[in-house]
Amino acid sequence: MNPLKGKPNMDQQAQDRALVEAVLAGDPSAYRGLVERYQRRVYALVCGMVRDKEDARDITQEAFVKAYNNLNRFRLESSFYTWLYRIAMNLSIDHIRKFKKRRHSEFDEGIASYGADGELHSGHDLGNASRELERKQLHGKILDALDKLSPDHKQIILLREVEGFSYKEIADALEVAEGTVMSRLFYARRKLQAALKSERD
Amino acid sequence: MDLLDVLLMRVLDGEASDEERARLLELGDAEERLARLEALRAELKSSLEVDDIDLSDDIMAALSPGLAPVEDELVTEDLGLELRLSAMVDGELSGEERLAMGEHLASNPDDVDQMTAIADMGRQLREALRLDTKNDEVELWGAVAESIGIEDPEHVPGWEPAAEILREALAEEAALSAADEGKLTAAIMNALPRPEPLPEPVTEEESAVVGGWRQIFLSPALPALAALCIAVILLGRVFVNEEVVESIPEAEVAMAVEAPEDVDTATADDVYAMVHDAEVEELEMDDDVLVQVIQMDEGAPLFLMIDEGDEGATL
Repeated sequence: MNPLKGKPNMDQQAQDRALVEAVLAGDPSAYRGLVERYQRRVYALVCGMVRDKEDARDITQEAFVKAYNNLNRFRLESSFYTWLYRIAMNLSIDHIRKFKKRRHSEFDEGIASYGADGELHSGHDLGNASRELERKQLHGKILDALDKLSPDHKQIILLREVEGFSYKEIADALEVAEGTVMSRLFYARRKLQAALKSERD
Repeated sequence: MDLLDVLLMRVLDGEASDEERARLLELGDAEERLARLEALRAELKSSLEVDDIDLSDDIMAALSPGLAPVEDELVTEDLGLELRLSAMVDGELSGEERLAMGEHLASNPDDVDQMTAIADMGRQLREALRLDTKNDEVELWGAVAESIGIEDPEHVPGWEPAAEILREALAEEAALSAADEGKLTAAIMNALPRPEPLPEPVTEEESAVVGGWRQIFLSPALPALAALCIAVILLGRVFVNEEVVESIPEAEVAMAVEAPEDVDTATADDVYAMVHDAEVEELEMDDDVLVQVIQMDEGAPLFLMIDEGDEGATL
């Protein structure tokens, strides 16, 4: 039993299929239902991949447009979300390869905070920060550690930990064997732990 | 590029344990290959302008799509255990595997800690991402609609007939409401419970009488005059052996009587009470004498005795 969010349930899948069929039948406005249902989920995952909100918004939008333009290639018996997710992740990976340098500097600014003296401190300088601030710092560090993973490792971690996909669902989404999912996820976790440890040190 | 190159890529990616690394480096020309791969990685990083590159994943995925992941080739006995721990956290082990893992965990608290660490890391990652994006506004339909060529993103096909029906219904409803507004208000007012009818408006003539009463009531000599009247009447009754009123009754035992029909004292009293925020009570003393007890908001009650003979009301 998957305790996390997982894929859309059967009712949702049937609704998705009906909306896709409506779009394919000539009603483009039916696509709105699909956009509004999944925009936030896709955006959150893309955010996890690219670590830049503006870019994440653009990529999410592009993913929906690309999915719309290729809707006739979508297999109705599949999950629309899994298909959309794959498009979004591929766009994210392309983006990461193009703009990797920029992301690091922006993210470091993102975890900086204002101290009690009103001065801007980097997230790593706040030795006496409040608990909330410490938690925020921890989140910053874990996202920073995530950012150090390869796109494939990042993707599989997000699919499992954030989307709650089962190994089989991940295997379907990435079109790899379940054994691959298991080992890749294991390595991704190990790398993430190491990166997090390095961030903490 | 052969299997050893692929395995060495994992060494470069930091995904092999020290033991695995040592075993691989013992093989043939492993060190030379490793140096070559390191140079390749540096060149790729430079040309792609990236900080890091995952050789085993990125290059092998590009060169050999569908190739089985090399991680499987590196799984040692210990790695197998760690893999199963990871899968145990995800609930992906079979029943038999779970039982075996349960027995193992019972005597290996370090592995329990490792499982807890994996689960905690996942939770923290979820929370971090959720908090990082929870306040972000993500309303993409307008932009998506524009990109896919929809002129009016808010347009809903099939809405026009429904909108027309709704417009007509609203217009009809509005017309009915305007025409029947007065009747409706009256019906509502009549349906409301109302214990007493409101007093009739005061005419000019009555207003003059009221004005006279007001002057009397407002006179500073009034209390003294009232007391004098009471004394005179009581004394008079004693002298003519008529029934003597022992005392002026208190307000709470006072008996209200109806005013004679030919004197509209009720209206005057009501108006006075309304103007001065006072209570007026009438006490029967005699057929022709009306005693009024006026209880002001403050101070002692005021007694008025009015002779209501044929000549009219006199004080």
